[in-house]
This record gives sequence, structure tokens and C-alpha cells, in this order.
Amino acid sequence: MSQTSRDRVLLLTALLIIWQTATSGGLPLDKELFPSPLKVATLLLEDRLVFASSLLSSFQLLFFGYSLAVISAIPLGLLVGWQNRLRLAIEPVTNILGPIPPIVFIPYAIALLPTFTAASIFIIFVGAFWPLFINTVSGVQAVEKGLLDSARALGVNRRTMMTRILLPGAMPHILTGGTVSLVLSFILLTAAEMIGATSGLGWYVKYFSDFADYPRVVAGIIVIGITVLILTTFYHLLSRYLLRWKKV
Amino acid sequence: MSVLQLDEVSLVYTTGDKPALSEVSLDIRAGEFVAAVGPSGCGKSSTISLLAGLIPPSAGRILMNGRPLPEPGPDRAVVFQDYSLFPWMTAGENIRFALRQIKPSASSRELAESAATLLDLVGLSPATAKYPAELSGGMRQRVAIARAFAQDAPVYLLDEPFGAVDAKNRIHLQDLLLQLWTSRGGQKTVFLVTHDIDEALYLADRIVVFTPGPGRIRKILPVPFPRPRRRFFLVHEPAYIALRNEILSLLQQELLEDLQEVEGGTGI
Repeated sequence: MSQTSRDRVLLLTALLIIWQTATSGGLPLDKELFPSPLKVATLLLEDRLVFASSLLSSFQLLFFGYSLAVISAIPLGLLVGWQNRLRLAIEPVTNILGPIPPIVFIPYAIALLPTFTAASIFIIFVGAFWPLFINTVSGVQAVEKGLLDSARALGVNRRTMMTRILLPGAMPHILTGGTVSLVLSFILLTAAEMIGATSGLGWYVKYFSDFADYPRVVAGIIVIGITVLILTTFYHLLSRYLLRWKKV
Repeated sequence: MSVLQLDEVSLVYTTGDKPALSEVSLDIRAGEFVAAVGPSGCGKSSTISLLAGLIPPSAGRILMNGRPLPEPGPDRAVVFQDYSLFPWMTAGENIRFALRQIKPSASSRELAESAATLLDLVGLSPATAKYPAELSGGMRQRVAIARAFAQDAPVYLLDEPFGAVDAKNRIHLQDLLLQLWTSRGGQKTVFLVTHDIDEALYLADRIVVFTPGPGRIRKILPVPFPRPRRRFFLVHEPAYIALRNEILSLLQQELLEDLQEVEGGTGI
């Protein structure tokens, strides 16, 4: 085991021990509000089927919302970043719409879309769209001019220019935007689920907090934390693969 | 007949104060090998960009085969000074990509075979699967040359293509370039920018001497030596030495005039 992994395991164990001691009489804490790690672990095991179905339903929303953003924001961003005139024309719109917090669209999403699922996917889509779009545009701008000249001198057509030159050239920026989008999607997902869902990770936490079942709230929070960790880890592996051509 | 024709061409960059090129006229004939020499900032590289069609001239006109210069395309292969390989493609992929542009219907296997041959030609077979970031400057330049050869274009525009290459490989690549130029019955036309006078004298039919501030053509000198030229004998010939000295003094004259200006006309 490497030095770093050893340090990390050690730190994690220490945190668990502190948590256990603090909740089993070490500190004057309310037992209902601050459950012991053992209690939480028991609940994680006990509710494993509920967690599995919650994960599945959360992932569905996340997947559709995020994918929709990826397949629309990246091609649009490439086009807008490449066509200077289009970029300048569209800039004010981006500047107005981009910074609006996506949660303010929730009332409209609920009013206009037939189901909770559709409304949540829409909100996640809006939240994930802007960071990806804005970063794709700036990614295209950051592509070295010499490379574009090189591609033009080879006589590439528009489609090849987009897919083989601009897309990989903008990829470092796109992936940065993608991280922001992913985190934002997850926040919006749990928020949406806490408002109106009947399943999902956000729903789990909200549902049991309504019954003041704080040990289960803590268990839910931990599952959410681990899920985000796993997602971002996969995302980093994907980024590393897509940018394997970059000097390490 | 002229393949490329610059007619009183001027170029002003929006960022620069002095024009990069001022009323430059030059005819490049079919099958001709023309070399351009001159100090930095004399507009040699700008001339390449203009001939490639990457930037329009501010004044004057550029013709190709008697017609207005077409959009950049596979009819003019360009090697840029900074190599301009696509960093997200391996050496092999860079060449296959260039081949794909001129042969859209070729099979992947055909392309791979042609790419392997070309990389072998520049001595870089072992680097096929390497990304540009993993190669040295000289190796990148050799891949860029192989990529240009892949285009098999009637016109080659080369901006200091051998600048970063070591002496041994440079000689090899110069000879490869001559081979390429004479292939297909000598129908290829080459415009080569270089800062190496010996390279220009060894390769070119004519040498264009540029001077800076603004970029102008100072003189066009024919290189009368018969081909095939043998570089090790050539350098000892009195005619060669005389021509070399003439170019050097043309370049130095400019330098001396510049220095005098700095010294307030008192000389050095």
C-alpha cells in the first residue's frame, strides 16, 4: 500500500473512532440527532433494497438530464465558438440566461411538464447545459490558431472540422465544464427529489426527516456522499482517457 | 507558365504598425523550386500564409494558374514553422488523417499502409503510436513533413521545415524533398522559406532575398548550378561561393543600415 493510501485509511479510521466515542457518551449529544456509526451501518444494511431502488431512480433522472445537456451543449458550443459572428450575436443571451439559478425554473417546469420525472429531467438539463455550453465555446476559442490553419490547409470539410479538430481541441475546457455540470446536476437532482419525488436518494432523506428519523437521514446523506464520490471518480478516469494525448 | 503569382501584394496586420509586406511581386513557374531567405520579420512566413490562402492580402492580387487564388485546400500542401501536428492524434493518425482528406474512399488498411511508408521515409516508424507531446521538436517536424508528403499536392509551401531537425536528418530530408519535387515528371512546385543560405543554394532554382520593415523583395537571384547537385562538391565551387557571398552581403547590408540608424548615422 502506498504512503498516501495508508494515510487515508488511517485518517478514515480515526474519524470513525472519534464519531463512535463522541456518540456513545463521550460528548453530551442527543442520541436521536447524532446516531453512532454502528447504528448507521446497521441501517445501511437494513435499508439496502430501498437504497438500491432509490439509486436506480435517481440515476435515471441524472442520466437523462445530463445526457440531454451533453448532446445539445457540446455541438451548439462548437458551432457558436467557431462562428465568430454567431458567438457575438448570442453573447448577450448567454450572459443573461447563463447565470440564472436553474431552481427558479422549477415552478414553470412543474406547470408545463406533465410528470415529476419530466420536470426534474428538464431542471437537471438546464443546470447542466450552461457550464458545458460556456466552456465548450471558450474551449474552441482556446484552440491554437495554427492548428485551425493546418486543418484548413488540409482542406477538411465542416463536419470533420467540428468532430476531429474543434471537439478534441476544446476537450480540456469541455471536461472542466462537465465537472461543474455533473456536480450541479446532482445538487438539482436531490433538490428536485426532496420537493416532489416518491423515490430516489433525495426523497429518502426528506421522507425520513419528516418522521424525525435522523439515523436514517444520516445514512441517506452517507449514501449520497459515496455516490457522488464514485461518479466523480469515474468522471476523472474518463477525463484522463480523453486527454491521454496531453503531456503529463 | 506561372503557378503562383503575387502582384503588388501588400499585407497589413491589424496589430502591427509597419506593413508585413509591401508591394511584393513574384512569379513562381510550374515545376519551379523557389527559396526565400531573409531575417525574421521580413514577411517570408506571411507570404506562405498568403499563398496558402489562409489570409487575404490587404492590397494587390494573388493568382493561381492565372485565376484568383482558391480557398485553402489539398492542392497546396503546407508545412508550418511550428509543425502544427494535431496533438490529440498520434504520429500515424496525423498522417492517416491527411491521407483521408485526399482519399475519402480509401480503406483504413490502405491508409495505414501508406502512412507506414511515409513515416518510414522520414525514419520515424517506431513513433507511429506516439503523440506529438512525446516527440522531440525535430521528430515532430519530420512527422509534419511526412504529413505534407501524404498530400501529394502539386504545390508545396514550406516554412522553415527543417529548422528544428538535426544536421544528419536535415540532409536526408532535403534529399527526400528533392525526390518528391522531381517525382511525377517534375510537375511539383515548391516555395521554401529558410534561414539557411546553403540549404537554399543546394535546393532552389531561384532565391528570393527578403528585407524587413516593411517586408520587401530585395533581389531575386537565379541559382545556375546543374542538377543533380552534389552538395560536397558544390560548396567548393567559386560560383557557389560568389553567389553565397552576394546573398550574405544583401542581408548584411540591411543589417548594417539598421545598425547605423540605431547609432544615429555615425556608423559602426
